[in-house]
Amino acid sequence: MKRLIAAFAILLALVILPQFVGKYYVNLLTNMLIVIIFSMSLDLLVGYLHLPSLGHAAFFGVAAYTVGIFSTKVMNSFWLNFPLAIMMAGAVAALFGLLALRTRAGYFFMITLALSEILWGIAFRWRTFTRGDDGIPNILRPDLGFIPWSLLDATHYFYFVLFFFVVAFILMYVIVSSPFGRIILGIRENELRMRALGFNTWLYKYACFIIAGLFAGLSGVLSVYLNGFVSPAVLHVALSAEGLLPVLLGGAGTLIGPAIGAATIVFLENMISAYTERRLLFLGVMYLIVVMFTPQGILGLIKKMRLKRQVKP
Amino acid sequence: MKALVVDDLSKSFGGLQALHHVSLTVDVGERRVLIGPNGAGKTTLFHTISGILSPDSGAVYLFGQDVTRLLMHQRANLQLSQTFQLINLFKGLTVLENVTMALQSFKRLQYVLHKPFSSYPYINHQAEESLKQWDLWEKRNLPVSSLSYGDQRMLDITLALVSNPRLLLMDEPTSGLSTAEKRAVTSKVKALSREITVLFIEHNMDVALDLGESVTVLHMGQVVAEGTPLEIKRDSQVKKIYLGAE
Repeated sequence: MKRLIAAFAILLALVILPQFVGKYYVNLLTNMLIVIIFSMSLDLLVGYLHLPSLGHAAFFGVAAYTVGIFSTKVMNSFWLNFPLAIMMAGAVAALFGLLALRTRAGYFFMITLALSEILWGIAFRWRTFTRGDDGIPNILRPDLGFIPWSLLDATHYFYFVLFFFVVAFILMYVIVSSPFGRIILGIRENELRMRALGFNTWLYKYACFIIAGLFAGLSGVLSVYLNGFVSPAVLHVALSAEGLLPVLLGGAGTLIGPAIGAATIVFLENMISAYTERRLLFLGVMYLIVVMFTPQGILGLIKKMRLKRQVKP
Repeated sequence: MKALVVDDLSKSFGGLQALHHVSLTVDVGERRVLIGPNGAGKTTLFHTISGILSPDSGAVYLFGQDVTRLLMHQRANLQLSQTFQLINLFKGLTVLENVTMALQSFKRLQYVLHKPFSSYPYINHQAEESLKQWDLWEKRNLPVSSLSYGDQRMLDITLALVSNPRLLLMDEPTSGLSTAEKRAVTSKVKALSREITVLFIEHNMDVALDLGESVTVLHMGQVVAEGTPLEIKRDSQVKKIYLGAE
């Protein structure tokens, strides 16, 4: 009940906030929501399955490129491009999952990196199709037709993204608390025992991998419409790592953790960018601090403090 | 029909021949104990029966069905259950969560993504029943890692039993337990329904000969003797293996 109230309070704040801040901050908030979706989807692998992926940008990027290429070369229809992009992300996840899930831990890390680098290489090299490093500019936000607002307006687009954010959050929440979600947890805790109990653990991991890919695809679509531009950067390992950091910072294995982490990082990054261009350096330092001092993330810290308070009445 | 038929099974790891043409037949409802010195291949045999390992040659039949090519979870779904030599639980979860996890498999509550787990209260009722049987109900909300070794062993066995197995493999169910705990486990195993066939590995001779109705002795990857506990006790070859040649 408390959680539900908190969730509504946050939602209310998100609904009201764009009315009081400038366009720049509205776009920043929009970006924050997109990063949160991306991080939460990655947490389905990292936190819920203990499968550290360094290639999650692949699904984000494939969806972004699908929208980019289709809306500039075929037609700019939301109803066509949106499902197509997410399906493409899912298809790539289905393919990569077959290869990546043969490994675990460090090897999983490396193979997901390698697979996503292949896509990056394609985007970079296949100039006639992807325009290479120049990227695809002028990707217009969709015209939904049935609603009276234009998504070109930053605030309207924010609400558009907020809608998908809420849907994605609820869907992921339902999945992780379903019987399926519990089995995922069981596989994380003890895969051999799960197999001994009769669970086809590979299939669950595979399904989870694809689900994570679908949600990453969603964040990619929302991102490309926000920026109106797609370049190989959306497939780059740096983006995969940027998705990983919020998960670690906030606390892996929960949905709220990555959300807190992503929000923190997006705003810290924004503050830092006023002083330096060395964004990745900053992220690297953040990563070190998290690993050294709060390996359980912000949520872990909160839990620890609560425990301490209980011990000392 | 036999509960388990192991037919001419061989398995080697590199140059080490762990199982060498092993054949074994266990009747439905039988309590069969597998003994043998360290490195005899007992656990390897278990792993090839349960599907953790696949054999180099030979076949495994469960209740008449050839399962040699089946994966571990497929065999488990034919009501083959097992407990492990090293306790093998969901360490981060509570006692109750451990049992409901096992029940989910049995109750086919597997591919549901759209409903919260809490909307299936009957799972918890079933778990309650099992936990009470094994004297773990009071400890249901404790994390498994805080249980005593004996309780963890009990929970390990509970997990293997909730799925209503027809064949139960137990790899040293009493190892590491105190005398009192050993007695508790053996009496519970003895009380198991005759519909469950039990094959177990045991190092403790007293327990082995107390629980087992028939004994198979494995040595260097081969079956060297088979018979009732009394016959095995008298068998000169078995004495030689355990006590050394004079």
